[in-house]
Amino acid sequence: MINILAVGFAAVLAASAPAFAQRAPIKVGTIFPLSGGAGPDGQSVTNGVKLALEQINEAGGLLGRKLVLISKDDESTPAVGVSRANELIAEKVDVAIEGWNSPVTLAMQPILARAGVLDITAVSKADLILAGQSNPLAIRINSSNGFDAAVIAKYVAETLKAKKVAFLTQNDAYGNGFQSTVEAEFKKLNFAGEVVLTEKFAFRDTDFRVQLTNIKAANPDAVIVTSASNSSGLPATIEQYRQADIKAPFVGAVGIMLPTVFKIAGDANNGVVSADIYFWNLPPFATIPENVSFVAAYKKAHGVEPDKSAALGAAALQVWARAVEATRSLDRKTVAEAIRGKSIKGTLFGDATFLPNGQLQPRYVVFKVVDGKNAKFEALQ
Amino acid sequence: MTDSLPHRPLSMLRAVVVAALIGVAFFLPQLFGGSSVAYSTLTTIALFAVMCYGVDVVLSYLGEVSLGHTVFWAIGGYVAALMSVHLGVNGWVTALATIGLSVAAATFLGLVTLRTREFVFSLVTYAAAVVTHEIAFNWDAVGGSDGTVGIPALKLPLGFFTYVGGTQEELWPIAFALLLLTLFFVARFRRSRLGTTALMVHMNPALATSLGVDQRRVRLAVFVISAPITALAGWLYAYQRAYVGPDMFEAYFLVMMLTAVVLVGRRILLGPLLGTAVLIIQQNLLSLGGDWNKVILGFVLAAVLIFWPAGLMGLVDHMRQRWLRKTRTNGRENKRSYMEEVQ
Amino acid sequence: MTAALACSHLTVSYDGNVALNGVSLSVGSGQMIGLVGANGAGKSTLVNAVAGWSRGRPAVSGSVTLDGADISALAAHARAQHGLLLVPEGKNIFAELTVDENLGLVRAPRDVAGRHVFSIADVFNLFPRLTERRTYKGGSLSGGERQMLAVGRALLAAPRVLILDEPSAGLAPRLILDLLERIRSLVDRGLPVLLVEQNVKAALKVVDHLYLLERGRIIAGGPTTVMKSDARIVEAYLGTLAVDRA
Repeated sequence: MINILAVGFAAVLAASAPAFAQRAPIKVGTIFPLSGGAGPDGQSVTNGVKLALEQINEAGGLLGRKLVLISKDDESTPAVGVSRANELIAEKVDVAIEGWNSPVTLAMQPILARAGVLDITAVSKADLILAGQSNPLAIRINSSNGFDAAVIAKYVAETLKAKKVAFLTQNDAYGNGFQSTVEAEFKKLNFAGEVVLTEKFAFRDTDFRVQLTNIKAANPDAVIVTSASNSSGLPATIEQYRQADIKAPFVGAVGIMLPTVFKIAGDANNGVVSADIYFWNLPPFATIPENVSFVAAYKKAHGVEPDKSAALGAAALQVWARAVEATRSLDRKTVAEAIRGKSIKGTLFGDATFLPNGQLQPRYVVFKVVDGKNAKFEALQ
Repeated sequence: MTDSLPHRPLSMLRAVVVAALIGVAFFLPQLFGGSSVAYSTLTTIALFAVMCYGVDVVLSYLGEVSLGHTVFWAIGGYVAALMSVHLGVNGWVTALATIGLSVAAATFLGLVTLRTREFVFSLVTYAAAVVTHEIAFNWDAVGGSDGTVGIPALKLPLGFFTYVGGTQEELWPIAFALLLLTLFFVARFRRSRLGTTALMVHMNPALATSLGVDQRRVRLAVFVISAPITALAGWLYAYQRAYVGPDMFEAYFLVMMLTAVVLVGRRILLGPLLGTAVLIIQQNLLSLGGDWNKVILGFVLAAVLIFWPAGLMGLVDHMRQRWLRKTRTNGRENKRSYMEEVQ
Repeated sequence: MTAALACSHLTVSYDGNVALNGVSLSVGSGQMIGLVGANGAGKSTLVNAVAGWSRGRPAVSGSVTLDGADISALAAHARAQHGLLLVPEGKNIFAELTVDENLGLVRAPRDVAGRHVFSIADVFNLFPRLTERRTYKGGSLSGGERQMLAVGRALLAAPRVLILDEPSAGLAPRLILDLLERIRSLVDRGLPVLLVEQNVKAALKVVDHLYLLERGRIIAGGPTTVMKSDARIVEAYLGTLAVDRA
């Protein structure tokens, strides 16, 4: 056992020794799930980071140095994520871009923060991540639940001008949290209508007919749906929604209309309204030059257009690189302070504006599905 | 059985060797380069090994597979997290609360499962873990699905000064001490009245009863003392990670506990420690990627259970026995006559 | 003087099927009582009822007293703790442990008033054979050695009464008698023993009293000298030749 350990540590030490002496490269670490159920998603984010990194290297590097990527797999398990974070610390990375699952991010945050490694969260959405308790210099690229709820509340209250609203809510922290935030937003907007019905379901449910019958009976003007089960529960919900012949618009929470939903529920998706923060081919992104070049390079490398996950990864790297360039520093505090509460130009999201707590101000596209089978939709507003 | 049951006094030589090994073990992180990875890996091994010893006591001495020890593991983590964040109390207080609460939980679960054996026992303990997980996941007062962040560094006031365990380097001595304490406790348990009677019940329940052993009391007692071991590991884990969430109920930890115990062999004092070390080193330093690691782990577990249910030490033992038998039958031995037997 | 062990009107039934019907017997101090009967006569049922074992869910009525104290309500382990020690039939040693370890498992009670105390040295004196096997695992012992070990271990627990359930099962005839005679030597020093046996011939050589059990009832009982010539015993178990030799 001691031999195995010694060999293992020797390998780590060898890997962490500077590869070339003159201008040592800047190390970028990523930690995402690369295996298991969330593996494809994590790979997509990692690909986004990698591609943006290569684009910078092709343009001459950062501060005259090359960027290298050290990619780790957190296996969607907090305990594993912690080990991977420790490995990145040992390899002395200059920035860690991480986070698909909130619990994994929450577990890694204090480890990276204590070691003084700049930590940018690409995807994980929990509010606690930005609460500052475990990382006072937190930065997040993906939209927060609060913003997501606001855009949906605004659409229902002001665009649809609904008088009667029903909720179909996944009964857990995500679903209930989203609903209560939407209701809080209604209050802020002095919403004149009322919530006539709340129906709940469990993450694993696939039969929603009882809830949908109740919703139909309540005859609402809009139905707000949260569901994180994009490969079974949500497509089933949409199909049963059509079968129940509910006329009110199906308003999906932000970020739930993923490719699997279109693949499974097909044309039943037609008419579904939702919102998201990135579409490679919709305005405003279609006209941002950094996005155009990123999309072209991504398509060349992977044969498909980038999804939101890839864009979040790329944006995380770009935001960090621009801040490093501007401050000519790799120091965690200096770089973080150049991002938090500031605006960063030249990312694939255009000008990226951050709130003082490190949250990127998202730009939403509200859309309606027009051709569910081919996942085509049009932007509203 | 590698150790014989009756108490054998530790010879001087043996005591010196053990003390020397403990001394060397303490400086292992430095021997491996003193990097933070060395410290965190060894701290994690010590911590997870302690976690596994709770399961080991139940599996080795009752012969029961507890799938509910993640509950005790989580009790330790949650108590440390919630009490240090919301009440600001020090490590001794959270440790005492951890022991108290885990003993209470184990007493309850032990009483519920008193009449169950084997498959049913495993199932009921698993159900307890599932239910507790659901509660932790949905109850906002304990952090809900997001868990609790901002756990401060571990503070242990020692009269004239306070030991602070913030970094991996500072946590290592605590993890090491906890591991030593656990090993000492388990070694004592093996030789204790409870340990031997538990073994009697495990090997032959009817015979144990005919010798005056109250099976239920023994089973309950063993289950109850196993809980604080795993719980204290969870307690330290909370400080190491500074974040506690419902992931403490995840199969990752359960599989780790069971595999580490079964891998080397049951009823071997250092078995769970070696098993944990092998697993963590494979995962962290010789990783083949998440999917492959799980395939390998599953394969190893299945192979051990199917081919060498007594674990790797059982395999070694088996080989040795075969070799011995061979040399023995080549020599004299082994026919007894009835005459000889009556004398 | 009260009997060391007495059961009166002991009746056991499983779902209404009576397995033991109103059996009364007693074992006095320094007495060895034999209980014989064919397979299925109810011997094991009686032993289990006396020792407090419950295989299945039997309905048990009647009483069991140990040195005059009623122990009918006690669980099996508690009866053992009170000094009613049963050496069960088969599987009566820990095969994974050595002879020393098997013996080391037992601790005598603190209060030994009214009990027959034996030390490990006593056990080795009684069964010198075990001395040579001290480091052998139980599983590698012969049938006779296993019985010695099981009896020795029961002795270490300081019995008031010893119950032996078919100690001769699977043993060669010579060994049976040897074992029983060694136990008889304990009885002569005061230990009460209830011997449950199929081997009537061997039992007759050592016991003071013999009871014959058939279909759940005691159909005959008396001093050994009388029972030796009891027609039922002779016909069913001994045959004429045996009577001649006895």
